[in-house]
Amino acid sequence: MVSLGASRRALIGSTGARLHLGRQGASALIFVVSLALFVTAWWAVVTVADVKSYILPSPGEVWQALWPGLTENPTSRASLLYQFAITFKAAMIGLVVGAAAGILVGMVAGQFRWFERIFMPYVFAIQSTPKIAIAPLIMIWFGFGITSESILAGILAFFPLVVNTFAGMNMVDREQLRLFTALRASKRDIMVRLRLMTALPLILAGLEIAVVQALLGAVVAEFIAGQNGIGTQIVLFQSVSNTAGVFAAIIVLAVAGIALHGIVKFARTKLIFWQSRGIEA
Amino acid sequence: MMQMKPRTTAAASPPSAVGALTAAGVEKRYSSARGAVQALLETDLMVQPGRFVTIVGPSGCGKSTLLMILAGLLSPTSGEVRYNGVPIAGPHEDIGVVFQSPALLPWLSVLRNTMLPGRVGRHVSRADRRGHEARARELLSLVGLAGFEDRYPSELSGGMQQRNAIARALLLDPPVLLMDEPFGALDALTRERMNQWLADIWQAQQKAVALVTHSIDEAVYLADEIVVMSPRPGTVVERVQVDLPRPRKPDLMKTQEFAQLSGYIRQLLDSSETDSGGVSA
Repeated sequence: MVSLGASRRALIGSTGARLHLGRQGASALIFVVSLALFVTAWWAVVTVADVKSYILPSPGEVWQALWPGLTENPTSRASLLYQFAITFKAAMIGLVVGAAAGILVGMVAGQFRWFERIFMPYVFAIQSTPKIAIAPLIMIWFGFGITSESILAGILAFFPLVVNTFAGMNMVDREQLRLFTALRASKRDIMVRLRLMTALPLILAGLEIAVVQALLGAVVAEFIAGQNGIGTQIVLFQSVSNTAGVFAAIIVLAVAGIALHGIVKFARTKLIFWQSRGIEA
Repeated sequence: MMQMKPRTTAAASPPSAVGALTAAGVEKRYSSARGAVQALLETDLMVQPGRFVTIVGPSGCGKSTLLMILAGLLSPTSGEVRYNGVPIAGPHEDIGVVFQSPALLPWLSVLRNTMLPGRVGRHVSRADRRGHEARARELLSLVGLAGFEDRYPSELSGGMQQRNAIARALLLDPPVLLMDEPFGALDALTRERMNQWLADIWQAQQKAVALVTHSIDEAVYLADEIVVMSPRPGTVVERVQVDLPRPRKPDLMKTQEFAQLSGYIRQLLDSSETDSGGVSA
């Protein structure tokens, strides 16, 4: 069942927890229990109410769609991992380019007032627009395939980083800025050694959002015009009423999203050591 | 109560411009939405090598403004600042500044913070930089932070942070040191200790120092000359020469002479307050 890995974790959790159930151990235990309850409730509803499997498949049916998809030879098109790798690649290309561009634009806007005045109003206007709506336009301009997917992923990753980098650069402490002026620091030093470092926590927080947004962009692009990838698979499963397959693909995406977000978050706590150091000392 | 009137000079001290930082007829007006604010009325000031000048006055009298003008961090509306007889229009490499807050960079260790002036200063050559680490370590033990070189600012107490900031200001051995209420944020006991420590350091280094404070005791304890300022718009009410013997020790504060001087300064501050209509801070 779904809880194969989970029950093992619960076992480790419960033996480790006997002596002292730390905050983390406790929340892991609660998670495992609630997941088990959720799956049970799901199974019960489907069974008792006799829901058609194309409306809502049972957990077992989802597992039967998920497991072969994961264990299939990863070079085969039937493999969910093969399909996911395509989506992942597009998302990562978009993320790297979009995030880098976002940090750069945010830095320049944070440093130069004229640039801020010209460009930031557009950034804030577009930031408040559901950007996913431009997906069809991207298809018109760049055609089908990985280019369009990466571009959409890149656009979605770009905005959180522009906004956060810009905001972070402006969070600079007045006295620290005065200090740099008194030390006759160059513009470059003020930008990199002071403003950018001040912005770093917010930049990494932006990256946490961007990594999930990039994945979203790639999947949506595939919905519209993909030839391959997990988004395309979802549309394909839906068209043949393979609802269990849709669920399996969503689970793969969810796990990937959580993992990516977790990696960035971990990197953030390691990189921004100075925001927690005082508490330990 | 018996009032001894100490020696005072109405005009600036005899002009020996060598190594001296002078402000002549310096004025500062701020224009705000509600009209112009006169922060500083024509003020003259001279800080000479080996002299410790304290500037004391009620809150908002423009004493910090005056110090920032001396540091080249604010430009006066009229009048000029000269160093070594030459007008200066911005921060000068010979002038070290200590601000109200320590303004340490939280992502740099205590040692790296101390070395900052050598990292960002445009005037510092690569050859100079090599000597900076040794110098920084030396200064850190001078300010009582030996053993804390690899710690981070958030691990230090407020007093230690401010001492780190002073060590940083001394890195490039500036002949002039300007301090803007450096111990204003500290508790009374720590503050007294810091004053003693500063008196000792100054005794060893003999720089031209100007220190802004609103504590009368601090002003008297540290000074060779006390500049008393009126409430806003601030200007110099009187310059009081302090002939108390050096090196100074805390016992000095219990002496008759010390009490008389503080009493006199207090009287000057009180009367200038009533003259201007008794505007309280």
